Amino acid sequence: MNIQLENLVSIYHENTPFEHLALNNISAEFKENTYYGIIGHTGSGKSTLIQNLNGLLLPSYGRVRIGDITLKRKTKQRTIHRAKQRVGMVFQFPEHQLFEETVIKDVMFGPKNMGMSDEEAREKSAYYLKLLNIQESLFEKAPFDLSGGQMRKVAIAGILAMEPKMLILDEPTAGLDPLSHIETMQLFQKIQQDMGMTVILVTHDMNDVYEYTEEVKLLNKGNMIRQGKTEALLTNKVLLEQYNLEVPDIVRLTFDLERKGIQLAKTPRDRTEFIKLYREWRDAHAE
Amino acid sequence: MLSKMLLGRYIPGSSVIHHLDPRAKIVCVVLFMIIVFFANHWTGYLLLILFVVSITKMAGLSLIFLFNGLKLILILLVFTFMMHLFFTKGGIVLIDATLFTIESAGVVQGVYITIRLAMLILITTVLTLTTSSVSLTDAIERLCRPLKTLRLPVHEIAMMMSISLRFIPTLMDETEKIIKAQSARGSTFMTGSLKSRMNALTPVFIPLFISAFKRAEELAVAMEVRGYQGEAGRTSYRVLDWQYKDTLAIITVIIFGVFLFMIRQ
Amino acid sequence: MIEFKNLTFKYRAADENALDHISLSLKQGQWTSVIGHNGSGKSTLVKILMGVLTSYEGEIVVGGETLTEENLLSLRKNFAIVFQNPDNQFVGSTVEDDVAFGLENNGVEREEMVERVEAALDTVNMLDFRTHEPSRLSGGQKQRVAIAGALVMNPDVLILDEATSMLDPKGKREVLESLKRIHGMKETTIIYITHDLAEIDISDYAVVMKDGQVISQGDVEDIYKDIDALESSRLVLPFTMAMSKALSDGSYMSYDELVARL
Repeated sequence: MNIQLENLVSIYHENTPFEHLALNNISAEFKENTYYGIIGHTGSGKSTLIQNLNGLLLPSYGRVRIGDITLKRKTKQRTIHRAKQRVGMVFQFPEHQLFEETVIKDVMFGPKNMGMSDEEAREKSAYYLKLLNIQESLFEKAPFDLSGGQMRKVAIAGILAMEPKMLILDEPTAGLDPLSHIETMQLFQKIQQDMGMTVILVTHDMNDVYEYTEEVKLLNKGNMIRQGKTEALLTNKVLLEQYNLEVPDIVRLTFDLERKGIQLAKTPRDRTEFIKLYREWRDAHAE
Repeated sequence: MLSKMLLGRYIPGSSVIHHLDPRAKIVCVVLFMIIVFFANHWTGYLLLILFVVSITKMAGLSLIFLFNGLKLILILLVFTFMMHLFFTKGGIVLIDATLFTIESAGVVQGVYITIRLAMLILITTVLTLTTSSVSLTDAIERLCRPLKTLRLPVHEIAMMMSISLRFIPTLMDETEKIIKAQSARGSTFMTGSLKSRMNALTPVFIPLFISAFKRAEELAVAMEVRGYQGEAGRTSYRVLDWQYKDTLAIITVIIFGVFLFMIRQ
Repeated sequence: MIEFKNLTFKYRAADENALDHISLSLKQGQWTSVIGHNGSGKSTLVKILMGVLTSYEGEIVVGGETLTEENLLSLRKNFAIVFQNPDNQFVGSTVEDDVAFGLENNGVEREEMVERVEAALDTVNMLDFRTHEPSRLSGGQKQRVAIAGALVMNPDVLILDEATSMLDPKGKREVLESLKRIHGMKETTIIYITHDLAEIDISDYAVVMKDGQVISQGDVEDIYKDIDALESSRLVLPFTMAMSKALSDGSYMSYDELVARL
């Protein structure tokens, strides 16, 4: 299942003095089984864009195709509901949406809304909770008695249990300590690979975008500036600086070494690869 | 719809009315609430309308803008008018249908009462549109100070009011976020029976309450470590500056009231 | 000078000590980072110092005076603190009102208040926003206003309790820049609580905590002498240090030094 945006325009408070053009004629595609990053400065339209991908917002003009579902200006609730099942959304600080008496009931909320039976919802919920390392002994506890990290996992399980085909992550590591940050990002990578899911990551952290995503879409002031392979866009220092985005650490170090005359075989994608390539270069140049 | 609502909104500006001391404005509005009842025939009501319209103009607000913002209130006004139309009896019978009669006193009374109500709503809207919530709470606190002798916790109430007002935008943003998050999990707020719509609110209210309590707790600690210990020994950063023009405003309203009283019939 | 002597504290519902015989001394005018994983006890330490948590064992000595319930209020006037969540520490309805809050509580005269509020907002570069509503500011701006609200009290000690952990990279930078300016200007003692090792290199002294205990302390170079201990404390090496460990001798170095060494 692909998502296609066709000339998407999004306007807030249309026909009032507060009118604001948030997205300007965006055309883009999100393909199956691909890890995407959406990058751009605050106010670039990232958040508006992802809300258009599952019907939380409807296009002011243009259309969004999610497989055989089309979302337009006046699409009916029933159709929007189906779009929400297909495209799951993990918001920033997802633990803030927990409300049920027990962990398992909270995770079952989404699946049941999507029409699953009690049994089916319970089965799926238990499966995804365990996948995220939440022990069965915690299932009947109140979600608010868990640690912050566990609460976030429960909230994420609540989205996964709806079995969406696509997953949108909005700043999924906000407020986490560095170790939990790495664990969370690795978890999403594993989910993406094991389940063959499309994942769309929205974040300010260029290191994460560089390390985990395959494709990047760069937005600025509501316009789609560039779409392409992560290794092409995030190694384009001029482009990143032009749009006030950080250069990933690894890319910066590779470039600085290049200036010193150390030319690695290619620009590495993560720390491990960097270390390997650097050692190779060192060995080749050792007299 | 909501974005066009004017009730309780503040629109910054630099008109004479904006610059009046908020205490003067509140006193004037209270006086006006009494004065409204002095009018008892068409000249009086005409003067009331003229008075309110000129104040609106002085505040730099357009009547069309106010009218658009108060459309919802219009329903209330129409309802008031209808009530009097049908239920106030007296004078000549204008329409005599089998189910109801409309008599001339009903029409007259309906028009008068509706004007009164409309003017009251307009004048209080002008007050809130031209005065920030901070100034309003300040003014209320100071005007209510004499009530302290009755052991009323005026300072505490004012503090509560201003903190609540300060947290309204934060909680509104939060509500919107939670609604979106639950809606992404398939929660429906717009469809189904009244009962199912009410049920759909639980997933919104519980997270909202939890977060509000957490905020309150953290805020309390923050206030404590910043040395808050109630009113004793406290000074105030904001000052209200009563000027000649504020006294003048009140005198003008009183004169208008006296005049309206004199032309009563 | 603040000294923690053999400090032990247990939360009522907990099985284990949140703080386990902590002894520390923090020097006047020094920027001390206290670093540790979530639940390592770093915030508990601050809460005890601020008098939010009581019933601890051990002793806290502030400027030669042992902290007791009686002198808590007067000693606390020397401290000011900025918390993690920028939204939950705003009292005032506008930026300047909020900064003035502490001064109002202490009965400072109005003219003096205006001067001090202005100076504090100027230090964090927020003077242009003085009449703005806090809810319309960015995270970094909110925290800078909170710092101004702390600074305006002319504290000897400024405490930041994970004050940057909810901010985006830009907000973090803004806050750190403001802190550097403050530290340089007045030699204010800064206690900077964080879970991010990448943030300690600006400090003069660092304390590493794990499970309620101090596992190492010293200047930043000393902290990196035992990289394995850091990694086993649920801490993550910052990029430069990870590279130093993998490709050089693992000693503390700046990014430029790393580039020069490779």
